Amino acid sequence: MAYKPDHETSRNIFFTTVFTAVYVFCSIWFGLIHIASHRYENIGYIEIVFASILLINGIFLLLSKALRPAKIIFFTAVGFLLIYILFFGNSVSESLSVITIHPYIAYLVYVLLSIISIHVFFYESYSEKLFKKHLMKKVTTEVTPELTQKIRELEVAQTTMSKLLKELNSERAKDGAILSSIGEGVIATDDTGKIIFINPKAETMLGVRLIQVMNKPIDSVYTELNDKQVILTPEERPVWKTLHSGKSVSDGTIMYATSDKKQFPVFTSVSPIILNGKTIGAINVFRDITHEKDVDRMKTEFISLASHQLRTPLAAIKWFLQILQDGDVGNLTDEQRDIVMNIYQSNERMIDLVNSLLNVSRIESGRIIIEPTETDITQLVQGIITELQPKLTEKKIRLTFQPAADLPIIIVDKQLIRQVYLNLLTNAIKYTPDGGTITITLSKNDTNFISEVADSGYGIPEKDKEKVFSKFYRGENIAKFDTDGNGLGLYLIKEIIDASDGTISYTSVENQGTTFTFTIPLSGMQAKKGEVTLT
Amino acid sequence: MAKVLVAEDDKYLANAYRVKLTKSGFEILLVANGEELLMQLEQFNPDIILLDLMMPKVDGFVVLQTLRETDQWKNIPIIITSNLGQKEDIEKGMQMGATDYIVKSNTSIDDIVAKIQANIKPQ
Repeated sequence: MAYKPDHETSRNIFFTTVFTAVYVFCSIWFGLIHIASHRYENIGYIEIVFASILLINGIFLLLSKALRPAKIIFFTAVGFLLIYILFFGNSVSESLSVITIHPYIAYLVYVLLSIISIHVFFYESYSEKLFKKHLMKKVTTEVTPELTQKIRELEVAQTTMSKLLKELNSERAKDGAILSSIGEGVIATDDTGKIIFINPKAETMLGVRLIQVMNKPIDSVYTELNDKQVILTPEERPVWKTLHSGKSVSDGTIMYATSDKKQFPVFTSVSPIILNGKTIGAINVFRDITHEKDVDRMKTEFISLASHQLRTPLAAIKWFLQILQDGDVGNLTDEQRDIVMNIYQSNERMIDLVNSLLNVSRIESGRIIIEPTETDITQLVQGIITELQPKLTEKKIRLTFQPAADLPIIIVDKQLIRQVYLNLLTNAIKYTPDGGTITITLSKNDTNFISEVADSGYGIPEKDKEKVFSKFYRGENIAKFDTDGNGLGLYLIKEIIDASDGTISYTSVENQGTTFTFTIPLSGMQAKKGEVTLT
Repeated sequence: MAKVLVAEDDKYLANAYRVKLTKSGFEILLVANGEELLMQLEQFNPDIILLDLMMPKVDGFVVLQTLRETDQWKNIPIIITSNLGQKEDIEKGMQMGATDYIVKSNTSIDDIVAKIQANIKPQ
């Protein structure tokens, strides 16, 4: 136990040193010189005893906790004298022989000193024990109940802390195991886009190791491409969008490209890491959707194949019904004619549905050819209006066409744009009661070509807002009037508009009317290589 | 009576052709594939050919090309029929020398008759 020597101990050390010094001196004086003067002759018992005592005292001194200086003095002195005596013995003994004391007195003094030195040795270790005991006594007698209580509380706190630390480590290990087992790729970044964590799945998918990419910006680890195979700029990447907006971003149209030339489609969800209201980072959870895309493609191919196969029997039914209606195999009674008409109409609906399904599957497969050519939209729309005139007349619907005067020629795929106007107009006619009105407006602003088709029809229910452009959606309110529609028209239009980088929206009041508005960028549609066109 | 050579592998459609075209006053010969068509061509000596593009054994396009490469038949009106309706197929067919194109499920049989009447050239 290291202790700071207090006053008492310093005093002890002082006396120890003094005794040691005196002892050393006397030992040398009486002892060694005595031996030296007799040299190696007449070494009697006294001399042997004396020498032994000297040796033992030396050992005690060495073992004692006397200050090192004392020990050093002792052994240095012994050493010097031994050398002196051995080499210059005679002269020393002669010079020192004058100072002689009666041998017995010398021996007595010597024994006394020995006793003292032994005592010193024991005293020191004893005094140390005393000191500790003294200290402890001092401490325990002065300990108050509060202090004891505090000590006990500290002990409890320490035990709790160790337990907590153990639990914490165990939880950390568990969390680590959980994160490592997640089957999707997880990358966490700080607010500057540097990677702070990446899980094993992400390591595998991106072909990197955590050590390699830690603290590197994500932009340097992998690039992202859109569905047109164009590399995204940093601002377009979901992680950056999230970091800047503090909002979650999901995207299923992106492909990741790694440094080892691997490319794969992903579905990614990026969420902000928010602490105290600030976005301090982002977490990107992504999975490889190659399989899903394959399945999608197979579904589309299947629909396409089935649709083609369906068309043949549909054509047969159509033709035979026409043969019946035309009276080629005998005249029909009115009733029979009526029945045949019903079959014919139903069949036409099926043909329409198959055509729509084919178009949908072609668009979804991404295989649609987009062949933009210079188009005069006004002319195109006029052509469609003329085509649909019989239906307009039949339902006595008044149509107003208001193309702006300064509309430019715009570069779009005629067939696709035609489909959009055709669907919108057909819907307008279908879902407007007899005697209603339809207005078509064409205009432009700085960036877009704007088209509006407004009708005075049944309208679209407010609650269907989210579903209107989805596949097979049919408003409840018109389903009872008209069962002909297949619900694919608006879906198709939206896909075409999306592919043209345009927008489409509508406003509607039930039983008053609906207005569809869509835009196409004045810069036109992008050409796209493909394999099929709309039917 | 004008003669129409119809190549159509679906038996129901073939039947419809037969009823309608006969009623419309044509003499009709039905063949089920391209091979048969080429075999019957000489003997039947049609005024117009209705050619299905999707037939077994010999592709409709191949037949079309073969016909156009033969002196005797390079000018005969050929209406190609299909259920595909692909712009590319239409263009390809027209480029190869077809006279007209119809998508079967989208065309009424009356319109087909009208087309035949419009294009027929007594050989």
